[in-house]
Amino acid sequence: MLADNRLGMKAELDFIKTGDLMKQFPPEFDLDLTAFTADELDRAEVEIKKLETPAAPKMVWVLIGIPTVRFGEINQHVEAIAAVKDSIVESTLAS
Amino acid sequence: MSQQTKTDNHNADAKLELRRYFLRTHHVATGEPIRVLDCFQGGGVLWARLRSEFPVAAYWGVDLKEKKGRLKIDSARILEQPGWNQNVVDLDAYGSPWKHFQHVLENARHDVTVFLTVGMVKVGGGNYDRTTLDLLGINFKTDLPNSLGVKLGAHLLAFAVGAAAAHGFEVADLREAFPQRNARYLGARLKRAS
Repeated sequence: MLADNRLGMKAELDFIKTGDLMKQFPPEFDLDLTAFTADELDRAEVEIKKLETPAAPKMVWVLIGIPTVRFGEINQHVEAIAAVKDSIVESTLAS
Repeated sequence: MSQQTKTDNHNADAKLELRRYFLRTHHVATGEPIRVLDCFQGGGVLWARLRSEFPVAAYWGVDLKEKKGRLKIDSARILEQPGWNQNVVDLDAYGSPWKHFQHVLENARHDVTVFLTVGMVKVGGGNYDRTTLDLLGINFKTDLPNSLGVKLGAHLLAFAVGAAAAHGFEVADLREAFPQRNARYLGARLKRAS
């Protein structure tokens, strides 16, 4: 009797066989009686979709804005970034 | 009970159908024997079913979790050794499968079918999987903005395909099974480029 309290804890659910059993119930059967949740009983139709081989993004773009009169505070950092191989740094002015 | 909570056992039908498709198309139809390495065996029910349906020539199921009748092994350590000959690698991971996937790319010398269960990347201020980005060759020495990390995480599959090409594999077939809940179910047929 004591062991009964532990045996259930050691058991593992065979979710595939459980699903097979669920499919055998008639539509009108009250599935609440099985003690499984609606999520666990979700038997939506399976779809296998072909994926196109995706291309990874090649660049990371960072937009930096600073008041024109304070550009001197970051200029040396911008130049340092521009010196990094393969980086692209462009600057412009906007109202 | 905790094992059932951690393992994504939902949508078993989707996982099964995905595996059935690849086994039928790339093994049974071509006569290529099915030699399986089940890296996150769990209860072993997926492959117990598939082994009853397909002519599986060899099956090796391992798991980090101890269970009677199987070895407690970190499957990443198997895959990181050259010389394994399994041509179906099942990465039905509890978390991220990318470390294992990277080892497959590094050490498989033959065509291989890979199944991946990939946890969904959180978006909208969520965290990103830094380890995963590292493994795919995206290395940042300093912290990068969380928002950028999440955006990069959304392109993981693209980076994985790129990594496969860099290791001399052509992704001959790439498919995804639905419905999904908290994870993506992916299958890929990797062919050694001649």
